[in-house]
Amino acid sequence: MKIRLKKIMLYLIAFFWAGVTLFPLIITLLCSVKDNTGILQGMFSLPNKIMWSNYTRAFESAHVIQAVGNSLFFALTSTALTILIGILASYILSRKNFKGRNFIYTLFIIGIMVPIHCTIIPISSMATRVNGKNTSWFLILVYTAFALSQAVFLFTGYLNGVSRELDEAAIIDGCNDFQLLFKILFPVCLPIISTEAILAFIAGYGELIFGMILLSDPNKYTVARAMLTFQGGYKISLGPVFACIIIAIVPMITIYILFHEKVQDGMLNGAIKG
Amino acid sequence: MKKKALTFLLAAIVSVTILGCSEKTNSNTSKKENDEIVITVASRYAGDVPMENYFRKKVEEFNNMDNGIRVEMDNIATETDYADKLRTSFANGDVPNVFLEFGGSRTRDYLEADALVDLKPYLEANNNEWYNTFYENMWDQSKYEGYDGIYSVPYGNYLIAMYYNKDLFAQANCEPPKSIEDLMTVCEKLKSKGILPFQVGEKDNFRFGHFHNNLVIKTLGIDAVDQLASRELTYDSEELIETYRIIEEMVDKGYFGEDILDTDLAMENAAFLNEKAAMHFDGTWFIANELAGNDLYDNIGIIPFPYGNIDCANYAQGGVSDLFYVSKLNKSDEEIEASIEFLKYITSPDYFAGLYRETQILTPVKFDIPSDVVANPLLDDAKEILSNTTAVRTDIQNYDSAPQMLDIVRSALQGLAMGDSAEQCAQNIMSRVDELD
Amino acid sequence: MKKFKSKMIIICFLMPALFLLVAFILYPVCNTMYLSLCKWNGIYGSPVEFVAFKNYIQVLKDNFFWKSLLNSIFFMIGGFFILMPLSFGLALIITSKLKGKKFFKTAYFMPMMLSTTAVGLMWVYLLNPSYGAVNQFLETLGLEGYMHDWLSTPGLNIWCVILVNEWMAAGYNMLIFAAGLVSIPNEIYEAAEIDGCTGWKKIKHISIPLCKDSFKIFSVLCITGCLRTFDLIWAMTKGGPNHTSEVPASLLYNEAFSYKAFGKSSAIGVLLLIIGITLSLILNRKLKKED
Repeated sequence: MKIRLKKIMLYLIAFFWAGVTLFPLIITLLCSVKDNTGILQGMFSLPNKIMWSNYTRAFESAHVIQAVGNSLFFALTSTALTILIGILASYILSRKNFKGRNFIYTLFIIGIMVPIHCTIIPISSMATRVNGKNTSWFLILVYTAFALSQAVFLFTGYLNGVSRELDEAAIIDGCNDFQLLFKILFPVCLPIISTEAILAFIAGYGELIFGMILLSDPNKYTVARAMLTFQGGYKISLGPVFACIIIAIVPMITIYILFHEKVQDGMLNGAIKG
Repeated sequence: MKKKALTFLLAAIVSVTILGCSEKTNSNTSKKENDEIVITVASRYAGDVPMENYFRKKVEEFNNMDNGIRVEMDNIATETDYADKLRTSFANGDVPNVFLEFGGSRTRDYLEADALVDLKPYLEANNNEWYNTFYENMWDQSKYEGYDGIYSVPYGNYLIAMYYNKDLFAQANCEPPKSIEDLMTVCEKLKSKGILPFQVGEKDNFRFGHFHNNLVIKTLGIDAVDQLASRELTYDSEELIETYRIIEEMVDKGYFGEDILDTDLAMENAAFLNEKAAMHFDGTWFIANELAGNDLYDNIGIIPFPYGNIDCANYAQGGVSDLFYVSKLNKSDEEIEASIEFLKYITSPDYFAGLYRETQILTPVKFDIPSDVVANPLLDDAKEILSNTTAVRTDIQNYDSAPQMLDIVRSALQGLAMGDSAEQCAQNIMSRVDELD
Repeated sequence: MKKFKSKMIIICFLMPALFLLVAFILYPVCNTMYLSLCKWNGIYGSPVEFVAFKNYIQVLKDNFFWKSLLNSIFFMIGGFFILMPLSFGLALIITSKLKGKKFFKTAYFMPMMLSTTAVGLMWVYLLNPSYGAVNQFLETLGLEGYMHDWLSTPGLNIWCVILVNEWMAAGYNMLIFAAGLVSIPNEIYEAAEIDGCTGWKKIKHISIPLCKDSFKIFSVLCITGCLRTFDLIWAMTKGGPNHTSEVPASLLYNEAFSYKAFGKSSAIGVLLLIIGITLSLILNRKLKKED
């Protein structure tokens, strides 16, 4: 009886918070079919007349589908790079002893606290020098670099918690570093890897500043930049902005669910803590 | 599973490298193949409104002309984002050939760094051929003290005026106010009838900024603007405190509406358009952006902003808002020539006649109004007001040498909405002015 | 030979990460440090004048800087006392045996997926004093005395933004805690249950101690995140009214991009880095001592 009551309480809390976090999605959905007056005079009421034209404008004026494609491409490739490069570095920082290890680790910590506005001008002038403006590869490298510090920080922390007995057993079995990392440790680290993958993906997918400064070609616009179409100085059209958000969120949710399954996989893999 | 993940990662990396490389080679060859001159043009005209769509359409037309010039546009609609990108490009020397900016102290730095092309020779060539396509009083923002040239061409101009709701005024038996004194009476009458005089969106702090500009210009005159810029007249002088006091009083009496700090411009517009407020001060762009095509159109009147001193009745806040500049930082002569040609194209009378057909706004360029456009009495009234105006100034702080000034004054004015007194407001400004070097 | 090979491995594995770090993070940081000692108007080719520590003195004398720093300390307090328990609780929910976990974990992460602009705008409306839902809710409860002008009252506005921030970031940090929770082997829980350890006790004696690494990670991310927070403040108050909700990153932004005072802006950046590193080091020391 007591246990059941507890369970009900737990469900209540879980649903309460789900309500608190889901309501903006519902509001966004409502607002995406309203006009400015409808939104500004009653953001939370049902629309008087449904403005599908907001969606048409999102497709036709902001080319939101193309923008979603671009953002997906930038975010996915930079996420993949972040994971690969990050796990390689973290393996060394966690498993190898060498001079300057702590120093290098501190450098990565600096990477997670740099205010973004300090880096815009140096990175942009670098882009000019290496012909990186308006190219996808440069932007992907920037996204990777910014996600990388956090990845190294998270992975190293996690690897430090994984028992070294695993390594020893693997080395006795004749594994080299490569095999040890990718065959043994990678699966164990899957929870944190998928977590970082989600975080890196979300960051890259919604990023505005670098996407805007480094790219000028409308064919390469990211989602955040495409949404600016409706936020001009003298006239703001809120409806299409919300429509863009709704369209852009669909792939995000899909990828989030896919990646987070892997967190659970990690559990099945039976990570060993110690 | 692991293998899958690994192959995915590898595939991603390979694709990135290939993409990166192929793009590089592509861009290299395309530039060599044709002898077109490529110029980049940065503007804020990325929005989905008639005026901005027209700009982009015309640029495409320009590109399709066989003139050996190709324009690559980089349009960012939001003001801060646009400014960020422009600042960044100036910092690393990769400035667009042609760019849009406001005039005044915002761009003086660029001039001092010798980054701007003097357009005077081009404007004056062939007996002032290009110069004469503009109205004569449009050059104030393109000239700088201590410099001889003309460093930009005007593209858009505006005037801050007062819009009022005729119905609501009739209900309260009010006449459109001529002076600040009248304004106070009108506000009181409206209030007593339960009608909001204004609903100001001071969350966007340029709202009081604009109101204050008008108070100064139309009470102390345009000379005061220059004196403020040179610090001959200080922001804590009795004259200025008097202007803050008017705002303070209007805030206290509730003339500016409720929760003005939680209201932004979009909400302010919505309140006026839904007849929740009787008056609204705004630029002439308000007619094209919000009133044209609105059911409310016939019920709205436009009058000059009320004067504080009758001698200053014919001054106004207004002038050129959008200007195009040509940069010469790391630019070849051919690019500069091409930039000029492009500017001539987008400031031609034909161009503006076409624009007028799309959306009716004030323009800095003279042209014959096409006969087939719909009547726009509000804009005609606005033009009438403009023709009676003898001198205009834009944001007062734009003439100041310190770029911080705009924020200093606007933040302090915002303080008035938070309950500061006029004296405190003056003090807030001065304490930050003293910190400037 | 073997030693050489091991060195090669170290270099090969670290190289890509270090390359990106140096190019995109450390080089800009060095550039910022250099600029912080100079006066520069941010225009290519115009002189960069060396002024030694003048920018730092200016920043340290600036009232706004200290106020903004106080605001980020508030952010940290909110982070440790509200965000940490909240996100850990959410992580417990999504890793528990409850049905519908997939739904919960998607819902909890939703605020992170909607853009900050949209979320900020929405909360601005919710908090509007006259028609916002928050005040209307208080009114129906008969709590008129608690109704406020949330975002324009100095002192109160920053806390509103902080709460919205916790609401938003809870999903983010939930993932970090969840990653730690799922790696606790089931056997440990089972053993504990046999010993009669359930509910709260189980959380207190197993989940929390075995998630210590996640708490460490959270602490560092929280401190650094609070020092560089910008987007939400910008979306909700722009640092206003009259600079009362300014944070260091918004000051830094304004100095550089609004006033073209790149030296002063860089000085703020360097000070932020120094504070961040110092706090992380102190934290690390403390946590190590506890081990």
